[in-house]
Amino acid sequence: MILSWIRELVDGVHATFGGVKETVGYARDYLKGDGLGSVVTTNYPEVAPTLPKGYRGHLFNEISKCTGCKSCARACPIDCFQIETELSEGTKLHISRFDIDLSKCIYCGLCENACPHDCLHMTTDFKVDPVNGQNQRGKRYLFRRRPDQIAEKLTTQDMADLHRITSASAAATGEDVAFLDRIEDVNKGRSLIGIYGEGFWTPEEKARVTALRDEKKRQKEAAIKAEAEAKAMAEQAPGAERSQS
Amino acid sequence: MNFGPVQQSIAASLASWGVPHSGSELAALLILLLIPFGVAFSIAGVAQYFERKVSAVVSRRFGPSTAGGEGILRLVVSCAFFFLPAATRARLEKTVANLPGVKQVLFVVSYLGLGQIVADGLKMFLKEDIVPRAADRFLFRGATYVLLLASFVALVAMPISQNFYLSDFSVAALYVSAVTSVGVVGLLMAGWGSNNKYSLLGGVRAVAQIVSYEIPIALTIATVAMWSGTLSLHGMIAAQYHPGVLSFLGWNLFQSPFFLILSVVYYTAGLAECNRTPFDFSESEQELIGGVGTEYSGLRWGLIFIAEYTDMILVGGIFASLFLGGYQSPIGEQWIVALPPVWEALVHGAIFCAKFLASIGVMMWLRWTLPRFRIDQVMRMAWVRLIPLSLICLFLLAASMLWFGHDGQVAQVIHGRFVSSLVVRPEGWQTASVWGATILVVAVLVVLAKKYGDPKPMPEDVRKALVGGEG
Repeated sequence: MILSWIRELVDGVHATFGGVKETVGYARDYLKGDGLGSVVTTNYPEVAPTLPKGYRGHLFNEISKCTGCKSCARACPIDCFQIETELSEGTKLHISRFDIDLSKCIYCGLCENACPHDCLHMTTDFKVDPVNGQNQRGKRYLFRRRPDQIAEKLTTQDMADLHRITSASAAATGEDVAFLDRIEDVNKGRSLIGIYGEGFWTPEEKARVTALRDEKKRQKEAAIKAEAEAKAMAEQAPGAERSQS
Repeated sequence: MNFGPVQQSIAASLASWGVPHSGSELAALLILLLIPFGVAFSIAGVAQYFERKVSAVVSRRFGPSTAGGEGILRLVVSCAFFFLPAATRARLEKTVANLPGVKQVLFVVSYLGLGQIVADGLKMFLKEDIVPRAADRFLFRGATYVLLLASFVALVAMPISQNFYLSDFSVAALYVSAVTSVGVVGLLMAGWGSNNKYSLLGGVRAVAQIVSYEIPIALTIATVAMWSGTLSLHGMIAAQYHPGVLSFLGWNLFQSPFFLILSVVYYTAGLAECNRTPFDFSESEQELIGGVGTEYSGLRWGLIFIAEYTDMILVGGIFASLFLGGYQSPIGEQWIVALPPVWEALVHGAIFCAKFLASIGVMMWLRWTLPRFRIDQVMRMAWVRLIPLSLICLFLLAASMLWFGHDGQVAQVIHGRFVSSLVVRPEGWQTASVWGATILVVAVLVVLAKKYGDPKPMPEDVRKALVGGEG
């Protein structure tokens, strides 16, 4: 019985020292080399992570190569593409809208395989945050134009410029930004998902909000109508009052 | 109570600046009291950083490595030049941050994540102090004061150096052990006052644990008191004085093998007293959210936190005083004693700080190495392991003292010089033979135990509770 008691004590001390030895080994590794020998994590926001080969990040479309064939939209299993095309310079087809709903996209990569002209790529970019202190306009993969911009047809030179800007690795210069502002709908300072996504809404929520909006609209219209009627009444009223009194 | 020559000299210098005599004594005492408080607070702040860093090292992460000094610089500049327009201030900040020296400092600060210390402190001070509506407000608020008081009052007895100490009394070791137990009341108050099941469970666990672990601590202190013939911490340190260069040979740790075992017992029990992992039952996060601290927020939580770190300082300080020769240096003590009082206090204080900081470091290391015990394991450890072990050591040490002719004379403590001559010391060959015999016996017992002893199986009811009856 005494021996069992001692055995337990010895085992406890042995286990404790084993654990301490293990962690001391970690510390020795930590202090080795440049001071971070055994660290298995990375300082993510400051240091770019090493992504595995074939990582499927955000989609990027080389808009000047794109023919608007909509193969990607047909290949997409969840319909997150919204592509609109327009005719410019006679028979040439240009893209006026190339939207990917990020909140729907499942990053499956089927659209990339379906693209016949090899202009739709999956990049290794995975950040959705548009406000990260850098001008990332040069690397835009979404293309969208406002109705008033669609009225202005894009020339071949415009498309060449767009291609130059979107495929450049450096950030866009002031002139290029002005150009992009002219031809693209940029919506500065708003989250991409906020702009394009409806995926966060459940159908019920969407129906509720739509109904609410319609109700408000109807009320407003009714109010305007009532006001107009009151005005009309007031215009008629003086005569009526006079005739009554 | 004696407040030491440093207080007298501060009072004298205050008096020489024209402060009336009655006021200067009190002012000197207050100045003296501020020092340990400041030390405890700053150690708690820095220890938090090291806790993070040690945990990162052990789990192979970076730990704090991004919190830099830019924010602090901005705060300082905007506070100092609040009258300037914002644009000018921003330009000034940029200029200051780009100065050659400042740039490097900022880089190092952000590489090591030192801004984390300030960030943690500021967060603690600025958060809202929420008292739950259902809480017992008196107990809830009182608990923090009781906890903090129990820790800080014990700090008074710390033997920091020969000439600089807050107070010295003949039962300091007993006093520390008695006063820190009051912290149990604080934990229970916090647990009950929070009106929360988790807090209450945490409080009850803490009381059960601390009351159990008081016993091995008391037995250890009793053993050292028997050895050095006094309960005064200064006296215990004085009894560990050893002339010559190898002054660490005089430390209790090397005086007897039983002290080596007792130091392990004391350290383990001290860990449990501080409620640190692997004994953190009062705040085990996975089971009790935050235990007694669940409902606390803001500075009130910070006070509990500081009380915990002060407890760690206390355990480290008492451990150093009992076994590691207190403030004495390991390589020769004569030259430090010969220094003028202020320098002596500084050198001895630094050595004492180094000793308890090392002990805190080991506590952190163990925290991130060992997993938490089960509650029944903790209770078994106190009652079945540590208490018998400390009793065995107590009796064997007493027997060896009888053989040495060391009858435990009371050491008369006089500060400013050592009184080691008053304690009958064992001869060198006697100490060595006790060491040899003990090592031999322990080795034989360990070998026998490894061969014939089988570890006790888990109690049947515990096994059932854990595995659910089957398996």
